[in-house]
Amino acid sequence: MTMITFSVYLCTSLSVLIALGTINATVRYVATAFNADSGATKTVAMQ
Amino acid sequence: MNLDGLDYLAIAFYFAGLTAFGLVVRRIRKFGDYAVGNRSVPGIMLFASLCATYIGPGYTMGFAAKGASSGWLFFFVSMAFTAQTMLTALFIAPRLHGCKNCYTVGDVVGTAFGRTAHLVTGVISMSLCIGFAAIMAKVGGLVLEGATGLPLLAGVFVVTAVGVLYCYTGGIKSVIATEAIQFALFAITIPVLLFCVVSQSDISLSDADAKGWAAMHSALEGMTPLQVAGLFLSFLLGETLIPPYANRALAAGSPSIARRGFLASAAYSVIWFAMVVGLGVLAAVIIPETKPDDAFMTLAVRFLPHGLLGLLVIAVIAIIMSSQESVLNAGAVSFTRDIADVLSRGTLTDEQRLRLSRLSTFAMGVLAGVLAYFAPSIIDGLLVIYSVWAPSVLPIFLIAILSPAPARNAGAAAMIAGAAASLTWQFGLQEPGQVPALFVGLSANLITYAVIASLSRRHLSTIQP
Repeated sequence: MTMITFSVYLCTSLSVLIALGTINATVRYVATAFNADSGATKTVAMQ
Repeated sequence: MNLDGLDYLAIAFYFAGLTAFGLVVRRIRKFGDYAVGNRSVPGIMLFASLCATYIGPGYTMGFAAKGASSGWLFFFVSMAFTAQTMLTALFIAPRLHGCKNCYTVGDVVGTAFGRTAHLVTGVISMSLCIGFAAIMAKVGGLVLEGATGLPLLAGVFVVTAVGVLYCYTGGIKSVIATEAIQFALFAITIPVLLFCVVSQSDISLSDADAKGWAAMHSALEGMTPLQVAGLFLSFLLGETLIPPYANRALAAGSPSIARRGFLASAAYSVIWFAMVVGLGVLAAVIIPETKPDDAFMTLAVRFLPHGLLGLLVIAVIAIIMSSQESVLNAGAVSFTRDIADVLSRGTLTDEQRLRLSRLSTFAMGVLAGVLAYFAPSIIDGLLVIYSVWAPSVLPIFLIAILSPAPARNAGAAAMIAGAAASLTWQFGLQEPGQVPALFVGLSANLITYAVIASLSRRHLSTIQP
């Protein structure tokens, strides 16, 4: 494998796969991170 | 640049989406959430955020330009950055995460070296963050001006104001979430550009590869061994543990998450550098008449269809904004913890710290915009930043993390000596004998530290029989 084929084929494929995994993780993070914040606030308010 | 309605629509949709996120995101209510995301950031988000922070315009368009002018050379030089990130992952990030009461680099330095060192670290950290934010604002403004015809000042305002908005409301949590999406955007768009270039041009990949190696050997022949060493040292130390990276180690959910996040971002850096330098190597064959600095955008305009071209402009803006918002957040937290908190001797309440961080995010955004407009050159600005951080704060920060008994009164003097020596060598004396300023500054820092540490120990042994 030459440097250019490493760059053009292997790296691009890996990058796209990693990006798709990141989008999936981000959706879950936004849902939990900001909801967790509101949950903590509610607990404090109830006390 | 020849954009059409579809491209403009994509760009407008991107900024509208980010603005909406900044407006609807739930407001952070605790300083710990604002500064380090309540120390609960998961590994993959840490990875994406780190990648989005270190991948700036220099590591994208800059590296494509280097690929066009010096072949594969900068791919191998950039491995020094990869090595640095791996070393940080293995030896620094997990220990840093263990500093439970620390929110900033200054907190760690202050714990080991006292108030003066804490304050000096804060001033350097905040100045560095403002400098970085200004440079990113200027690049963002120039990209928008080139792509859409928007005046530079308006482009600087749009890029900075949208970033400030969601930094202001959601702190580092918003920054990390938007950075992950921005990372995903450019981690898909750059491969698409490479794919379009290869599939639509009739070049031979093996010829392009051979020319890349030949250009690298030719570039190396024109450099002295000291220059090559200086280049590696700059990539090894120039950005090591700058405030936004350190903040992410502190924000990780656990020491092992910090280690894994940094390791994964080091691995991805190999992928990224190979892609962007590869683009430059291809540009040298396909468009040899184009100036290296224009290689990246010329390839995009020539090979991407409308719609995708707009997406690439968005990816470039995302690359810029993701680096800028990291430093805005890190700089604001540094101002609160390392300057305001130190000067008020820790009397600020959590609510006051949060309010101060928000106000300083806003003030830093305004300052960055003003400095961006008046900044003479992007490269000059980056040179100042690189010649200050590594010779001043970095050695003292590493001693604070790794040494069991740091010399408490040596920190501040060593940092000031390192920064002064590096700046004088680079800008006052213009690097005599082509000796890199980084060498000189680091030496001044370490010698000052060693001398004061040795004198302090002698003094202690005299007064303690």
